[in-house]
Amino acid sequence: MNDARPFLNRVFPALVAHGLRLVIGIVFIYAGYIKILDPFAFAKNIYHYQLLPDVAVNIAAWLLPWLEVLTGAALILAPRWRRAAAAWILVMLTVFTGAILISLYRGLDISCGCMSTDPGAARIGWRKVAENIALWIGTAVAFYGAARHPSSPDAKF
Amino acid sequence: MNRAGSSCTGLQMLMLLGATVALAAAASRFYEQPLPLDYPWSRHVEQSALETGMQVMTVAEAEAAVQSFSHIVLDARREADYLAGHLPGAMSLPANDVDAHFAMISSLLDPAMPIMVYCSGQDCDESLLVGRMVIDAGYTNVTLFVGGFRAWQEAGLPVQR
Repeated sequence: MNDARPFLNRVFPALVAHGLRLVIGIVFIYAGYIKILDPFAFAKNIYHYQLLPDVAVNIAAWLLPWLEVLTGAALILAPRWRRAAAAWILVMLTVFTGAILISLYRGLDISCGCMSTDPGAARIGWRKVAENIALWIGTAVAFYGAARHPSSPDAKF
Repeated sequence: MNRAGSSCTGLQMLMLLGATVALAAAASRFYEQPLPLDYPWSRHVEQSALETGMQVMTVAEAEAAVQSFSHIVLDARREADYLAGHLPGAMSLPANDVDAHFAMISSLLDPAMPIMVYCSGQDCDESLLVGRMVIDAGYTNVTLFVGGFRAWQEAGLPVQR
């Protein structure tokens, strides 16, 4: 039974962390890529949330997709940058979920703009909130797991 | 995580943000129509309507149109929203199921009569989509009530259920 301990204590958590990073990284790369293809449609998605002034809508639509792609790629491919990438993803998921919750409270019936820029795509709702919370928890695991990686800049502290 | 670890992560986050700005700036050169940074989103629907060849009307003008029966009134919101309450005399032509509904009501539409279309408010663009479809179908006198159902309600005007 003792032979199973290294697997359960070290290998299994590492596999879980790797799997989570891969899934979350791919989700963010895909989400960003879709928006990069049609930034005007994504800007319209952002505007429909009615949270930003006109001047900030296009700046957010211009930057957010690239931040999603960059952090998603760093989470998968760059061990030294994983912690910072995971931190950005946590910030983005918190902001996205907050925006959805505010819009639900205000009774807005708008498309999410999360994984598609199509105005007829999935509407915001509690399912989307639950998905974001699941992604947030997975990213938090990846965030704390990243510091354990020997090449992480934080591992030596 | 101690303070040194936090500051290292914070520094890397700033560097990722810098790389994001650089990437976005570089990529914007490859778009045929780069995203303008000063686009007037709060007038997006109104501006798009005018560019499409539609006219726009205010709440007072919409009220006069409804009271005088001068326009065919189309509600572009979802059918459930229409059933919950709509402008008096409005017909439902939801943008999310426009083909099926248009087949049902097209026989009631007179091409010589002006059409007024609206959706939930100033920020929605379902009315814009329906307006464009109606124009494509040959109805040239189309007017968008930009304020939509929200402006109608806020003005205290009667709602039909």
